Amino acid sequence: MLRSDDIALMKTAEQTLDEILSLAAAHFRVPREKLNPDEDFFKTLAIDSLQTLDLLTKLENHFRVELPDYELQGVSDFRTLAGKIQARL
Amino acid sequence: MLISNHKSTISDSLMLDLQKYSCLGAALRDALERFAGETCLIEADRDREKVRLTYSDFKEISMPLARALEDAEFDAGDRAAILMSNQSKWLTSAYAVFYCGGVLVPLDFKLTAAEQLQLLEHSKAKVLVVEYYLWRAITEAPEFHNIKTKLVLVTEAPIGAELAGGFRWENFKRKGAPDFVMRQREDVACIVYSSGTGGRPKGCVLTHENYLEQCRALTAWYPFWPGVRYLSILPTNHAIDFMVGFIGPFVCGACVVHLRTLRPEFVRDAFVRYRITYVSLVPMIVKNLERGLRAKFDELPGWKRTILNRMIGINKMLTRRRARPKLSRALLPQVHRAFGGELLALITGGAFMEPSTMQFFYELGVPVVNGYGLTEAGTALTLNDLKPFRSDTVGRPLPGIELRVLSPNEEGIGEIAARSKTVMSHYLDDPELTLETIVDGWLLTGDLGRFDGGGHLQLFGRKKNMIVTEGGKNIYPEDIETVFDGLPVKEFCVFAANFVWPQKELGREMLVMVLRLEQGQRFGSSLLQEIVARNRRLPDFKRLGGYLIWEKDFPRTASMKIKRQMLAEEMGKTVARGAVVGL
Repeated sequence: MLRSDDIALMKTAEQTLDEILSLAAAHFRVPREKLNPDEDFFKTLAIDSLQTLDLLTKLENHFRVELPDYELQGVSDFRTLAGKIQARL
Repeated sequence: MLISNHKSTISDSLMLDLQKYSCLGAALRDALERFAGETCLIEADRDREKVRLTYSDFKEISMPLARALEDAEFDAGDRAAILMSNQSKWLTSAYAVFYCGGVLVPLDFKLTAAEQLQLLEHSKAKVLVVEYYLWRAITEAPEFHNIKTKLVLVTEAPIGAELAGGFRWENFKRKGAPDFVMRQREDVACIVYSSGTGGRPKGCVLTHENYLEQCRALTAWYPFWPGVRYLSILPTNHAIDFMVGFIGPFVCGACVVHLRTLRPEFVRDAFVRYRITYVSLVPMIVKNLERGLRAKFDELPGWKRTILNRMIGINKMLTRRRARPKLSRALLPQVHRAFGGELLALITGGAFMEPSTMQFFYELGVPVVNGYGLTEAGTALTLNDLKPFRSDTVGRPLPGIELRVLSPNEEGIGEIAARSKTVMSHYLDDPELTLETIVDGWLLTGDLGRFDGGGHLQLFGRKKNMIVTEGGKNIYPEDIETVFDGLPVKEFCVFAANFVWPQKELGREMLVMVLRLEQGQRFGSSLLQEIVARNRRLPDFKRLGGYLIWEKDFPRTASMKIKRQMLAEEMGKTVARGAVVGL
């Protein structure tokens, strides 16, 4: 049985996605509105997979979860990434 | 040893004399005895050390597995595929396979499950050793029902996990000493796929002699010795890491450090934590390290930056003729502390490396040893010897390797051909391709280059239709075309841009799709969206960079295959590279 405090602490998928977009914008120093949840971030941000892993470490620290590198294999948009993190919250 | 003669003496006295061995299994078996008390493997996940093994521990783990394989009727010449990220079980499993006289098939864990199944079938592997998360993906692939591999050993499966007929690697062991199966130098040691998931797998069949001679050539210039710690980041299925992250260190009693993440912060941390001596990296990672260092330098207050620049200038002047690691460490202690203080060289190869990046590190006293090779030739054909450091070449041919430039043009540039005991035997089940690739004992590399006056090889592009990514992946256009099958156009094909519009340099590589529309068809947004959507199904490093509309039917052979060479030549003559529309 979840207590009301737990529910208040739980993030919705949309909240998680929103926070990821804000953190990514700050990390890569781009305006938040430039980031679209469904666009290919490799292309939008002109980054490589290592730079994505760098961001992932920041996200892990923020959400207090741990994702192995392989979870990120094939992920190229923020919505899918948010889903992976949400699943571990 | 080129960096330190003192270490050379130590190494020569301890390293196995590989001329005396007929197979990798025998050499490794002796190494486990000779260096029994030395640490051979460290496995870390992020900042947590998970495994630390001596050579003796390594033997203790691999022998029960070899015995179980023997009991499972895994015989000499049988093939065992390994599908794992870099970790200790990769190496213990490989040794068990060699101990039984088996043939190793290292598969790329970054391929899709369907591609892995395709190569598994092509290799006719009797055994598969696979990490649980990869096995789960394979069992979910539609092609899984066709799998013919009889014995599957799954590592690190959670308790109670469904293994779809596989066995837990951790429980697959038997008591009792297995019989060692000796192989001869000409016997097959490994089948390594250099590409070909799109329909024509290129399985390079490499013999024990290929590996033993490659190891001798590399260690003649860059030996290992007990106490050396090699950071293994490139995938072990890759020819470079298999040699310098397994065979090379083991026959010299050195230690391999596996890091189960590529997160830049943990890679940086591993250099310091394990006082790394050597590491092989792809350009993408070297550039990442460069970016990190430059950002730190930029944060320095002006006066500190001035001192740093002055020290870099002094180091540059004093290391012009040769690398002097101790001197560089004394001049630039903070930079070297960030690399653990004992790093002797960053080794790169397999993909184009910016000379400016190599120069940046060398001026800091961290030599970047650039080399050139291909899976078909074992590991490396050339390597820089740091006498002196050169950022504009891929070095000189290693001992025992002959290179020729075929049909050189007026600038001396032509296709590079190689002849040595390290060149593969043949392509698996593809005599036609073998005949085209190995001619009169010379391996035609498909790469263009020339030798300078100092005997250094310089590369100038490719003759073959392929790209090499910054992450060191060889991508053949034909391999990705299947993702676009059924695209609503008359016909299409994919080219490496530099194949169509040859450059006199490497780099700026991208894949371009050439589209021939149906009569009256317009290139509209729905077609573009379809291409973009399918492109995103590919891993990021395999994606198309752009497209081009072609106004004529593609030239085809009598059997309706596209004449790619002819089409590329015509495109190159009639359309500028600038006409490619970015995706």
